[in-house]
Amino acid sequence: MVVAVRPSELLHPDERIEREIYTDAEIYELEQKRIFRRSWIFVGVESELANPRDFITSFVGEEPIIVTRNNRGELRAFFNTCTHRAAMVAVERHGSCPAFRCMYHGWTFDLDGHLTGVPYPEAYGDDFERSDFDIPALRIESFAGLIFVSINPLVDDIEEYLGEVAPWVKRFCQNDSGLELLGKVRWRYPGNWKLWHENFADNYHPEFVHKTIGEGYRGVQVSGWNYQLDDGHGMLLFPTKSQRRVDRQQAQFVRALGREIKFPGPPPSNEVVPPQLIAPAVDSPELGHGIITVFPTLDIQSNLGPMGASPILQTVRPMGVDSTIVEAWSLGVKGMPPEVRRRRLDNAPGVGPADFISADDNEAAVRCQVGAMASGVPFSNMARGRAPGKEGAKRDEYSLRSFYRGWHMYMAE
Amino acid sequence: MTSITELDPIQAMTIEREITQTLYRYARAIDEQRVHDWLDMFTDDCRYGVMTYENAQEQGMYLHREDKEGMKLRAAHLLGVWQNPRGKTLHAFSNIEIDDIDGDRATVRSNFIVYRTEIFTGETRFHSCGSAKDVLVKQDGQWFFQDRDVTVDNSLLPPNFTELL
Repeated sequence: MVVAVRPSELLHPDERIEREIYTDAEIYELEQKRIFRRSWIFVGVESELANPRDFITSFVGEEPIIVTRNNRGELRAFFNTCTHRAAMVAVERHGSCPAFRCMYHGWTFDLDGHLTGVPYPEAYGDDFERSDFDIPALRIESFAGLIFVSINPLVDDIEEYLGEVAPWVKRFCQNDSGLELLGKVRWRYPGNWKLWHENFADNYHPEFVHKTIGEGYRGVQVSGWNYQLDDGHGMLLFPTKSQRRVDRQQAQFVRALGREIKFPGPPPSNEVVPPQLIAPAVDSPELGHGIITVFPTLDIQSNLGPMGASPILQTVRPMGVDSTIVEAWSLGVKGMPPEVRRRRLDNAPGVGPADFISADDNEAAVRCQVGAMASGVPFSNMARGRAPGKEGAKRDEYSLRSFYRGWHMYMAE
Repeated sequence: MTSITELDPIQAMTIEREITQTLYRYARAIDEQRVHDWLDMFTDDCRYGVMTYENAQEQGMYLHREDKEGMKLRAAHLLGVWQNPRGKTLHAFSNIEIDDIDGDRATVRSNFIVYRTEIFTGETRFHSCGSAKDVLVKQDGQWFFQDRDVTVDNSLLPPNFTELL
């Protein structure tokens, strides 16, 4: 592998990408340095750090971090490692505390990561300066209630980094009532981190991989827009009304089971919503559902309903070239009616390896990882949607190519 | 509500045996992939829910919690709507404790360990372990699940978690 001298050759002008990007350990190592240490990584939502002294632990790539709200109510982030001998200073996923005391030799750090206590400091000599051993601070910013952290001190402000996708993130995540974290779903799959992330930028697959909805899409002209945005972000938009033949979908479940099933709600209409030709604007009432891929690891799926934006957030955490942890945040709107909250709590909506949709995506990722080892087929194809420009139809791959252009931009530098 | 220790010993042993056998029958129905039999072990007004231990400590969000019709949907997915190949599972049920008895209604706690064998690779992996709280009701001489509430200890789940618990 000679990646260091030819990163530009991994992405071909005819929209083929070398499958080594999923399987090669050197490329993986380079990603840690060139992508994860230079970009903004989503780590949580504001409601996880509601009060001073609250903290969460997370990771930027493989690097452990702590995010806190300090005594002044400000968000802070620093590496989760003692500056003395490397032990993580917090292991809980979240909590609340006035300071972090390392379990190994008792060094203590405040909520900004400053070293405040060293047992028996005399032995270090007269010139020992505690501040030399503060845990280095990380960049941290909140946008539309989402908290991002960066190891890169020179990274652009988050709004600038999000660029074209910023107003859409706001539209699909910001809720005036505030968002409540209902729960998380976490799982690990034996595959490269990009395989999960790219799945969200791909709307060619759903009707095939997800038989649960596929039957409803058979022969239906579907509206949906697919955007290539700058800097690796992508977006898919869909109109308000469901375009599926729900009756066919339901008939499929009954066929598979061989028994009648009572479906909730009124009987589905056979009327197929005519495809709309014009993509909705950010404030359009026609806008129903959006999937945003924020470079490099955040996936936002959100419905716009009577209660405003209702996002599900997912991130991928690389654990090696062929191992990834997915973490999904299920969010509700603060003050939602109790029956709605109950319904949300009863069903981690649309996420996780036991979900009607999401389980199939895991299977696809696992199969792709193994398939990518076949040397005789070194490329994957991402060429759908040949019209010039940055916008295509639902089943095009502008959004997918957007991610790989961003990936390439970071990796080539 | 009556603790089983307050019952006549013969009566208590009979109930314990019936309930233990019901749980074993449930495990075998799943392991033999008899999803219709799985459905038929629940009452019509039942609930079946699965939650991670982690979420049980927080707001209590289920991975999924369904009534009988929702369970039928899950069964349909297991019968081919999902594209994931079905695994061969092994459910081991233990530590069965009857918390209380109220006529033909029993509240039961149990532990489970599930291993799953990938049918194409033949590899067996740990799938899940945890505990269940069941409400069983006796109808026409047979015990049925009215509420099966499963907590899985492994909050970091495997990529295919579609198997029944």
